Amino acid sequence: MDLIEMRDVKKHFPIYSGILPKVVGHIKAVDGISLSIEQNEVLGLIGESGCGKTTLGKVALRLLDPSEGSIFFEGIDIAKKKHDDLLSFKKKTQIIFQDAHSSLDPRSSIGLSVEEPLRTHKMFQDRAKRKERVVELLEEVGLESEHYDRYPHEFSGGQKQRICIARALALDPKFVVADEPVSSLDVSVRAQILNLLKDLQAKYHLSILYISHDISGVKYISNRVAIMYLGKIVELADQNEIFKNPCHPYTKVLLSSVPVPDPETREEVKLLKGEVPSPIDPPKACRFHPRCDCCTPECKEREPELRRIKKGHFVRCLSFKDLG
Amino acid sequence: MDEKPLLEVKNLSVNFYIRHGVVNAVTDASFKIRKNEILGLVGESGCGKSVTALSILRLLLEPPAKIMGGRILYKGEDLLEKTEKEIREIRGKEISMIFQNPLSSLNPVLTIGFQVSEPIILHQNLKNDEEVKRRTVEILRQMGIPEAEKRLKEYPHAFSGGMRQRTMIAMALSCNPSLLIADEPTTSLDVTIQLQILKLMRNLRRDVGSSILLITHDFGVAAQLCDTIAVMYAGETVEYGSAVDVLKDPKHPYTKCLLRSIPRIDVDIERLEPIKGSVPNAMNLPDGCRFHPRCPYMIEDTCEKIKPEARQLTEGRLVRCHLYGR
Repeated sequence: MDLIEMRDVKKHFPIYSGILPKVVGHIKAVDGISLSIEQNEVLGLIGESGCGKTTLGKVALRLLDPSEGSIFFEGIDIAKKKHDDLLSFKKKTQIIFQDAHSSLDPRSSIGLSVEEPLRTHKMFQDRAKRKERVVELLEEVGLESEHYDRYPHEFSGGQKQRICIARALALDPKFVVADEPVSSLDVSVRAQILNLLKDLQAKYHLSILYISHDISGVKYISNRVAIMYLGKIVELADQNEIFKNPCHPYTKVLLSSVPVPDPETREEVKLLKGEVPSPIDPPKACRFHPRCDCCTPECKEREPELRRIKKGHFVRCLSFKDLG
Repeated sequence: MDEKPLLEVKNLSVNFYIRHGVVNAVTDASFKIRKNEILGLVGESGCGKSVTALSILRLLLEPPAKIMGGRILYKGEDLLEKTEKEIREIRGKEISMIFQNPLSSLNPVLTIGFQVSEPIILHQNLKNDEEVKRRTVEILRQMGIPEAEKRLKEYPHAFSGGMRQRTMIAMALSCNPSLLIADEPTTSLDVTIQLQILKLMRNLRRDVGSSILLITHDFGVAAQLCDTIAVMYAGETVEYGSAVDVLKDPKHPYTKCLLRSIPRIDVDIERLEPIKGSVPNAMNLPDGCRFHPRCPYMIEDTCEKIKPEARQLTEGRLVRCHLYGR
């Protein structure tokens, strides 16, 4: 069953200019995305910087209001609801940010930080019970009860990310957006956090939208993977399918660009030509056509749909059938 | 094999004296780079790889930094004994460096043309404006900057991340250096751009014959580009050898564990095996072997007491670990 379903979601940021600010254009960060995440599923969202993946994560949680489209959470459209009516939705959804350090209040002990969501949502009103719950959460993420009274600066990067994960779990959420949760960590600590997320996901049957540009990490943690380019999903498939059989030209280049830690497989990989176009004025029709090797005249005229090519595998490309 | 190395770092050690105490940033770093060779210095943040690179060019601010010992031999001469004037002759001309964040290394109020031509004017004695401009355009074009001639008058903010890094490389290469030090040149870039930069560096070695010291935390990048690899942990080089040896048959427990803890795109991994604990604080390093608190192969009564020396296993293969011979 789908826990959250986004239908044709758009997020356009206006650009103002002039002395009397006037809208002169829009940054089309998210431009028509339909995506659903099932219960107990990790959906990996891969894209290069500026493709709109973080914006999509925030829109999914209504941390940003979508410009258009609807978002169904447990069957109810929350896209247009007033913020006052979103309390129960917000209780069931959480986010983990990339920079754990700046997401913790330096002047608040970590016990207080972790229990803040409990206080906001008026759970565990009894102080002793609340503390018990916080200690339980800290132990769940591999910290100890004596850490309760310590402050963020006393912890290493990996531990701070554990604290953020504990806080995200405090309200027993159903859906968590993890926005590059391991990118700022040391290589040797990344695996710890990835395993922790994987274990907690399995234990609490969480649905996770795992946003990252680290493709190997996404491969490790995700059940399904979506590839995003300039505000649109270009390919969506199961994890093992997309890495074995990438179909969109962009996905192919992207996946082959990942350096493999094996000096004996130094392939001459195709370089992507050109630069990522601006999301203010993205190319017409297929957004990838100026950089694509398989571009046909049709690609410059008609916008491709996200088409199903086999069960669970969707590709937004017109020339795909010709590639066999 | 007995060819004299272009650069040899021997037992380099660097401390930082700060208000709270002494930071042992680098304690015992040794490696060498031959002509036309790409060496990868691989390690996590804080292991001393950048400090090592900065000490080669004598770019460390002293104090708080102090080079405690060791030698840095470049073409047989010790760079640590050179005067500031002598080192300036080498910096940018013989050895040049590119940094991780190209935006903070470029001056935002000067044009790209001015910044790229600066080393050419300084080191190549080109007095003629026309000639300087011609050379600047040529080098930018080589780096794949489109419409280089028009771009000379633009400022860094108008360039994308990949183009800025290519501009930095253009500056570093403008005097055809014998050695290029690249400190995490692709870390802030997307994978597709990273690939372009790696290719550029490979071509540089092929066309100009430069040696490259590549500093990275990414084994993938190191595997794709380097001939030899030196792995650093907590200020020491713990393993040194050819890229194939180090990555295919790692000897030091740290290298082994690190390779097992990274997710890979080419292999399906059921479960990663993380290294327990975290990187030690450089102000309070463990006794004995610095990796022993995290090491699954620790030998009781040895590793926590005796500091292991770097031992040669085979020709050109060094490992600093008690597991290998006593």
